[in-house]
Amino acid sequence: MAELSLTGTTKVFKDGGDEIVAVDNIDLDIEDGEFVVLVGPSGCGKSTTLRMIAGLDKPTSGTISIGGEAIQDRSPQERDIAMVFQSYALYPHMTVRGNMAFGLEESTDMTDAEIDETVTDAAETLGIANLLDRKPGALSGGQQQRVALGRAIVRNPEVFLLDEPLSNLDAKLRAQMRTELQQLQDDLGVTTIYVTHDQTEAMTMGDRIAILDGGRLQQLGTPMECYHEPANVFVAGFLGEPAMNFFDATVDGATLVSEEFTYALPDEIAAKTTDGAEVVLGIRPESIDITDDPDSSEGIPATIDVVEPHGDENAVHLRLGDQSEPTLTAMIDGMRYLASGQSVRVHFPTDSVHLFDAESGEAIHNRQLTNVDRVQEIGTAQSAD
Amino acid sequence: MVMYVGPIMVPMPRKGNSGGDEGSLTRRRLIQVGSLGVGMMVAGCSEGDGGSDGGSDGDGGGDGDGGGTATMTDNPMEALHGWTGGDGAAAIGKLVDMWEEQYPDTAHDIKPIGGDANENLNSTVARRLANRNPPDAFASWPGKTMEQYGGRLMSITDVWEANNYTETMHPKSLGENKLNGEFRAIPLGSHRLNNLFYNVSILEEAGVDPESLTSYDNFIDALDAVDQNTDAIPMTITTRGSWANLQYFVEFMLGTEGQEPYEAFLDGDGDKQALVRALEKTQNVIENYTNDDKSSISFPEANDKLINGNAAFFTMGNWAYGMYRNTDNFEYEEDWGWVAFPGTADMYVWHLDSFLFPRDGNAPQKARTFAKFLGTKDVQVEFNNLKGSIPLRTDVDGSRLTDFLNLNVEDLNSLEKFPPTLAHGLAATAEDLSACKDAIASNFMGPYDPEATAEELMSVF
Amino acid sequence: MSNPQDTVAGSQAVGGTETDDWRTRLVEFSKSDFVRSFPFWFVPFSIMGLGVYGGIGYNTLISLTDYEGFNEGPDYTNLDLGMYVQAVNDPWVWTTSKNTFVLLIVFTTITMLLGLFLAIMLDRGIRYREKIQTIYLLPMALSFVVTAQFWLWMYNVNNGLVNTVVGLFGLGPYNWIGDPQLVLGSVIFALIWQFSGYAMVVFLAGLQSIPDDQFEAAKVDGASVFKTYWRVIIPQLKSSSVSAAVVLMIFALKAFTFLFSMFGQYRVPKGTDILATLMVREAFKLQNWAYAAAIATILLLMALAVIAPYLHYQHKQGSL
Repeated sequence: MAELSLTGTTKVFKDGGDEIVAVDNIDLDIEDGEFVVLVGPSGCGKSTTLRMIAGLDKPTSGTISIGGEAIQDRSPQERDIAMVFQSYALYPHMTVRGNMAFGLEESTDMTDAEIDETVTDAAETLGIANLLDRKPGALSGGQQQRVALGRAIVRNPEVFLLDEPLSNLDAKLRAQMRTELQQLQDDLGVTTIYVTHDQTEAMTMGDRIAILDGGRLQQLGTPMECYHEPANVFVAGFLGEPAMNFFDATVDGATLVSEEFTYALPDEIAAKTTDGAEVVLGIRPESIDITDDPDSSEGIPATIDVVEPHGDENAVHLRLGDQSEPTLTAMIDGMRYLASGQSVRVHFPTDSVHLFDAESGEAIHNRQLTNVDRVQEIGTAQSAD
Repeated sequence: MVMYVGPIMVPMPRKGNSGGDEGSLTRRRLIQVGSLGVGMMVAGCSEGDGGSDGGSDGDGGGDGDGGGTATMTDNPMEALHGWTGGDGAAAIGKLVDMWEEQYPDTAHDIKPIGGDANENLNSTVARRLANRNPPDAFASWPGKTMEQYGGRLMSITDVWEANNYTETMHPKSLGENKLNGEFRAIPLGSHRLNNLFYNVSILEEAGVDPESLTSYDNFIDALDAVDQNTDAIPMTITTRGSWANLQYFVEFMLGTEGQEPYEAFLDGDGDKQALVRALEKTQNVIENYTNDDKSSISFPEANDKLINGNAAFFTMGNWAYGMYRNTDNFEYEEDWGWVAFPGTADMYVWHLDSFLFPRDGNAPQKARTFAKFLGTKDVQVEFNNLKGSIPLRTDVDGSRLTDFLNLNVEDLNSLEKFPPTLAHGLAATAEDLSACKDAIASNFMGPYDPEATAEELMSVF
Repeated sequence: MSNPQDTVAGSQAVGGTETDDWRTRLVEFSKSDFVRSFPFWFVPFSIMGLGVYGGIGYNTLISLTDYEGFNEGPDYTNLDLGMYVQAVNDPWVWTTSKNTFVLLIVFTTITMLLGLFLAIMLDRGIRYREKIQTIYLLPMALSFVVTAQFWLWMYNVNNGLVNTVVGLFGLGPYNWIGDPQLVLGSVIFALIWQFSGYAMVVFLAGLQSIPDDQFEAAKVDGASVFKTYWRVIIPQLKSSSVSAAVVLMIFALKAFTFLFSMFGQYRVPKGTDILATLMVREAFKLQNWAYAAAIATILLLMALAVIAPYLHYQHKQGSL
């Protein structure tokens, strides 16, 4: 079957005398039929990884195998993969039918009639049967996208590779296609690697997501795991919008001392730290409690800088203490009213804080996923974004 | 003259779906129409000169032909010639210097029109005559070639008579410079065409006595001797242009058949078999005794082979002599020699360079002055000494000329047979000459077909 | 209309609305792209129209007269096709037409194929691409006067490089210029040498405007390198090939200049004599203006006949 494995896969580009490590020793095991999203910022190596799987780039070292067979030395046509390009790469001089049939004509022994039938079936599945005789230039972006998908689907490949396929669509169409793609993948049951820089796509679409940065795999896990139990500062900061708040702090016994505040650690967390260690405190915006009771002495005094209404929620940017710039972002209920300039107190619930080693960025402590219902709730809220 | 204003098309980036349907339709329609234009422009430009120049049919110059009042205009006297390089350029340069010295107040515009074999000069003149914008004078061949300009030339008979040129110019040249009973040209110099130049040391090596080269058979013997006894090419020639082959044929015709059959042929009364015989002999020499690269080299390159000691014989008008004179350590009678082309010792194959004088020019009086100037002894001597041609004035002091030219002058003044050159336009109108060249180009530039050539040549006259 | 006052009175009587309407339309018209762009395109358009189409029209008109010589202008009162009848019966016209046709087709086709081949080779990332590109383009920058003489030397039967090279294969020597069977081929080869670099640059520009993902998509689709070019890349070079074809045809007609430079006269060997040289001879050596104009028209028609089907096909394909 079509499990896909990357073992120690590395890609080094030579630029003059310099060597640029685009992908650094990645290990990745993807199960048959699984939908894995490779996500990361520009230049993280996700596209190069995909291109190595496709056979468009050759790994400098390491192996890639599909269904247990090492394929890193094979040409793309011998790998039984299909790929959807970011720009779609439709052949402008061919009709939709020609575009979809091309791969079958070149890589199979199917008769013209069989090819035509396959193409028509796929086109019907995608709802583009009426476009078969048009040329790509006469199609809308969404239609071109479907043709690009169709071109990959007709090949009936072992592995389906998608390189930022939705990035050229407008927001509404993108949301719609996201769902359709997931459904399609479900129906086809083909092992799929999906590359994107958009963390929302990653969170919502993947069975698992692989987060890359600087050519290295930072974390591989389900969206929930990655969101709530980030392996390091990078993953914590990358997933979630608005991003997690971070504060540099020093451990002083059971207390965290930062420039703006001190924060008492519960024993179970304090036990994971050593006295005097430099750490980073992380707290997600939606976990922060804000109190506007002037008499309260709980929490850290703060001033509201800007309130951004998001509808169901409001994003609140706060200045801690006497800071001149906002350093903290919190999400509050959309119905709650807070005014710019208002003095409030913020509180970080101890079950929601994350603690990272300042030097290595590795997670020391993550919030605990104990309540499944709560997890579902948070997950839903995120994807509605 | 050939201007192609080809629009360099650059591939347009594919526009994809941008631009509405309607817009792209318009653009495509434009291209449809425009591309037709481009295609037409292709031919349009190349034909422009051919067609549109005939345009103005107005009578042109209000100056009249100068026959009436002899007032000088302020316009410079414009004279066109084709001497852009070598001896010709030096000679015309000298001529201009002399003009400026003698007529410092008479503005002139004596200028060369470049190009091989006067092609550009002739087409420029043709265009300007057709446009009724003639120069005041232009260099050309008189004789039958002049006939094409009939009606567009002015009479300069008064200049001839006033300066007594009718008495002092060579009598053979008088008729050639007349058209419709009037002098319309003035001769500047004459090149003799029936020359056989040879490399002295090769002939010595081959054991050939140049004095023996009096007939075709003797010539073949000499060629054989060179072929067998030396490494040199017996005869170096050029066949790059059909004029050369036509010229060779005429030489052999005159040398083997004589002047009368040749002139009978020109009069349309020829003996075809005589032509065939002459053409066969020409073919024999070209195919068996000449350099292989004749079709890709020019006559100076051919002549170089003689100068370099790679070839024994070379036949050409005596302008070829200029190359010997300009080669260091290559002296007459020591390194190179001359005899009349075999069988033509009693002939002077006749060629003339003249200036012709169009009517309706801008400076007709100055043109007359120029005509007078061209006929003066000094000009004739100085120009021809540099050009390597022979003055037509019969009263020049031979000591003022170089040895070789003097030899030619003696022949010019003593010989009685003056068959006119065909390849250089004295013997045939432009139309007939072109037809002769067509005949040669079709049948006598390899493969050689004397029968068909003769047939076609006979039909010309 | 003869009485302007009537018009004024009339329009007043009908009322202001129509006048306003008319005025609005005029104002709109004056603001339209057509009017506002008028000064920019009208001048070049009219100059080109007059120079090209006027020239063509006038030439055609001349070809219908019997205009020749210097003394009489063309007589437009008696137009007929006499010159064309004469041309059809002139064997020389047939010879030169055949040569022109062969030159157009063979030169354009081979130059484009060679240019395409070179462009693909370069595009596939030969090192020192810029330098190689310059080397190929260089011949085009040279004047015909230079290249014609250059090729005369190359083709010299005794010591020309061409015979030296074919001699290595035990062939020849051939009389490239002197042999009437070879001379046209020799001229075409020289022209191909001169202009394949141009075709290459046009195609290279076309190739480089094709995104890499087209190659990659074809690769993933399982197409071989040859099939990738044949089915995916080359069909996308249509607009480049239209440009190249049109320009190369112009160059093919410029062979006149090359021939003139090579042989030093309008009369070139019969094997390579083309309509353009014949036309110039008829016009400027013989003053057969009308006949030369008729030949020019034939040349024009021939060029159109060759390129029109191709352009039509490209237009139908949407490449134009």
